Amino acid sequence: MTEHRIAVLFSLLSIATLGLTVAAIHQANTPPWKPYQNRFYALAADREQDDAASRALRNSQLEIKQILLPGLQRVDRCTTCHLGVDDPTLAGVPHPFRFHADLEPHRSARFGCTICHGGQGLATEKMAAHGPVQNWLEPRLPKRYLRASCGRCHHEGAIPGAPEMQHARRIVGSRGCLGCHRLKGFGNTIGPDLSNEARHERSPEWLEQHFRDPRSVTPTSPMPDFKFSQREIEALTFYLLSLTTQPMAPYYLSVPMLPTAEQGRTLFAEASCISCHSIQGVGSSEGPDLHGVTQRRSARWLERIGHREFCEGMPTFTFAPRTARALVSFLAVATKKDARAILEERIPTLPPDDALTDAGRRTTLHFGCVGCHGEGLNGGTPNPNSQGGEVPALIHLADDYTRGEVAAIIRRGKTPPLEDPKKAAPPLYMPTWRNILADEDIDRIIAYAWSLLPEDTEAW
Amino acid sequence: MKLLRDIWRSYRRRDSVATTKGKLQLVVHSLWLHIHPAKVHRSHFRLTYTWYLGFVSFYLFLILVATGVALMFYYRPTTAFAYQDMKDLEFAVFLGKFTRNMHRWGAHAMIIVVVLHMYRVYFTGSYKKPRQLNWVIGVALLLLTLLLSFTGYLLPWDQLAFWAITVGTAIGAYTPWLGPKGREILLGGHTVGDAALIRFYVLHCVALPTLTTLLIMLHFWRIRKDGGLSPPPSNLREFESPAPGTRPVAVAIPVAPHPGGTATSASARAVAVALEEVSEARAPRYAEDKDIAFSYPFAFYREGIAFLITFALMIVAAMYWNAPLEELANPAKTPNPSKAPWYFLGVQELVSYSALIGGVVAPALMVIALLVIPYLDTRDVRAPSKRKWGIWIFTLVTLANVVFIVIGTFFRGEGWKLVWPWASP
Repeated sequence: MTEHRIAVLFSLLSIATLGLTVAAIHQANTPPWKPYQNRFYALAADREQDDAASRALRNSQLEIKQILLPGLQRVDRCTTCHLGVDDPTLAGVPHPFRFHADLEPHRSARFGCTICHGGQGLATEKMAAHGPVQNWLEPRLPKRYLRASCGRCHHEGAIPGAPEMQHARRIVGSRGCLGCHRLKGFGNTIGPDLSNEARHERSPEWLEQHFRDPRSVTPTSPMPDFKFSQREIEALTFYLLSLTTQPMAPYYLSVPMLPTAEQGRTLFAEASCISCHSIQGVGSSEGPDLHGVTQRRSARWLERIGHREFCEGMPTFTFAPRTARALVSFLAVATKKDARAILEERIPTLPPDDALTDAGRRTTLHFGCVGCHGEGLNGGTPNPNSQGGEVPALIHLADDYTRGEVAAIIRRGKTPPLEDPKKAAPPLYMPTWRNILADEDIDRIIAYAWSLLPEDTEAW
Repeated sequence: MKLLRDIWRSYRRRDSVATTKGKLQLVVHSLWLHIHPAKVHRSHFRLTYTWYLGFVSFYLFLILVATGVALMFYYRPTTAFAYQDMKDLEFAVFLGKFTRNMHRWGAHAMIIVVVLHMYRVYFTGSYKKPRQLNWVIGVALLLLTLLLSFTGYLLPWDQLAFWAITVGTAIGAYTPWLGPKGREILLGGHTVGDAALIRFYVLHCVALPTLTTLLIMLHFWRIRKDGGLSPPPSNLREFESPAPGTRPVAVAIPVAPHPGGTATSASARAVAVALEEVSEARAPRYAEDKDIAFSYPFAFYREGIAFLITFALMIVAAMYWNAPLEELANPAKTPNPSKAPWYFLGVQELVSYSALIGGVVAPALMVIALLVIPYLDTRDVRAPSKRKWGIWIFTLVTLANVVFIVIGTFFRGEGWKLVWPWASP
């Protein structure tokens, strides 16, 4: 190549590289969120009557907007495009500028967006923010499961506006999930820990399919097919999507302690207020009747309930301020019907033996024995290649074992004997409960199991 | 006007580059250019001789330093922030994604180019006397390049980074005695965590780049001291006995070190000095001497073209090809399979057959072999056609490495089982 051509090539390449540099800067200068902001300010300017203000809107600085939420460990940039979220006058405009109705008290400045909706708050591109994209921790929740995220802060109690949550929790409490799964430090370890399931990038579809047939998504899953109904499948999926171990600041977790009357009622019962007080004449006459106390006394005075020297003759209770407020809310609406109900709950109606069995029944529910041993410990859960092919029923326990033997099995666990030694071991086994159940729990469970022995078989 | 002219002169301090003297002064009077000879042999221009791979490696290093420093302004090396800073770079920082892409692809490219450069040097026999030491420095630079890339791999703190470093350091720990202790020192503990992140960060941003810069300087300096680039074997009269000092070859002719002195006497002195240097440095024995050319503009244009092509390709890659960023590092969730960075996948593949032989013995032998090659292969023969055995062995070992890397990258699935790359996981 002649020297002349080399020089020309050098010049051409210089120009090309310069062009590429300009192109790269142009690419960086035209992020996809800018057209959205332009459209939004044009829209806002059109709605503005005043000319000067309209012009100012049109010339608005385009910039990334973000909500810093250290308490939720996140930064949400959603409002870079969703600019009308907080503006009630924009209720009718099309997305992404529409006003978010019914948001109170979850104002976006305090809560951001992704704590409820999921998605990638840091992203400023449509696809990266909403998904589906690979490798993100919190997929955006579809509308029917959106309220699952309420459970991430509202760990207990009824959630106004999300009745599904309580229904889902009831199912989980009664189907024995904790017999195999761990959840926030409770439960056993045959199955995976579910405490952070909402952040395991599993889609709702995956979870639904998993409950329909666990082995269709995880071929090696030991989870039995529980034949859940569609309603149960949805409830369980809903529940799992509410589980996260992400630490939230106290501000967000104080939510369940909002002073509701229902909570006050529970506290009223727990603190046994009824043993000294009465409501509309129902209860004890030791202390004053509390009916109408909220009219007689100031809120300020009432909030000091339980303080030392609050009232002569009343013992000291250490209520947190919110707790006291919950009690007050209950007292404002309490009737003698409530008082009667509380009194009834308080007095044990069962004879001592039955009380122990009943406690045992609750324990089998709470710790998930019923997950494998069946409702009423009737057995029936398939367990391929174990003798009998099923997890054993426990109603005949008293015939075959002593109480001590059973307690030992519960503590140490047990591998089921094989039907065919050549085949793979059965997926389910009795795990160790030593570290999970207290001795009293085991005693209760055994008492319950012994009570299940059918009467007529006792003859032989 | 006079003031401006004075400023310009104080900066330029040379004659016009239209003159011979100016061409020489341009190189010799510049701190940045004087490591370059003022004149070079035309045979070095031939693209198919060097492919400018050494230059490209150096250019990539410069690009990596520039983009790396830019990234340092935004990156905080703690597990709490590292990943979020990656996302900020991607979504909020002006040119952030572009800079990170260029840094990432530049790092990969540098490894490939450095290896190709080494292969070129081996192929043309340029490691032979007197350039043995420079070959050893080159091997050290190759290892440094790998280490730089490896330490940088952890910094995004995503699953890819975390597990690649976990696996990569675990492979290193197979070394008896040294391995486990070395891993502990490198990670600042037994697992990859905050301590490992800050160690890798300091190594990646301070220690290793400094060392690399020093060795690069040494590498260039040795090229000059060893008599410039090795001449292409075809231009070399291999079987003629050398006659030191009799053939004045202008490899570097410093001109007029004292502006006050007369040109003639100064040049005469300079030539004498140059000759002394040349004979001492075993100047290349060219068949033809008429092909000596000024570095300006002949060499500089070509080197500039190499830079522009490198830079342009990096820009295009950075604009259209995004650096991977997986989900946040999660020590509790092991991906299956966990893979080391691609350039160590050949070793990981060997480890899957035998931890000790594949993970320790084979890599150690390879490095030792590279280091001793110039001292064992002392025949004064450089033409590839006369070194068939050596080239075959070197090529086969390199190819075997490539094949293992390809297998490890594309054909290994869950549980390190052989899979087809197109079979969905």
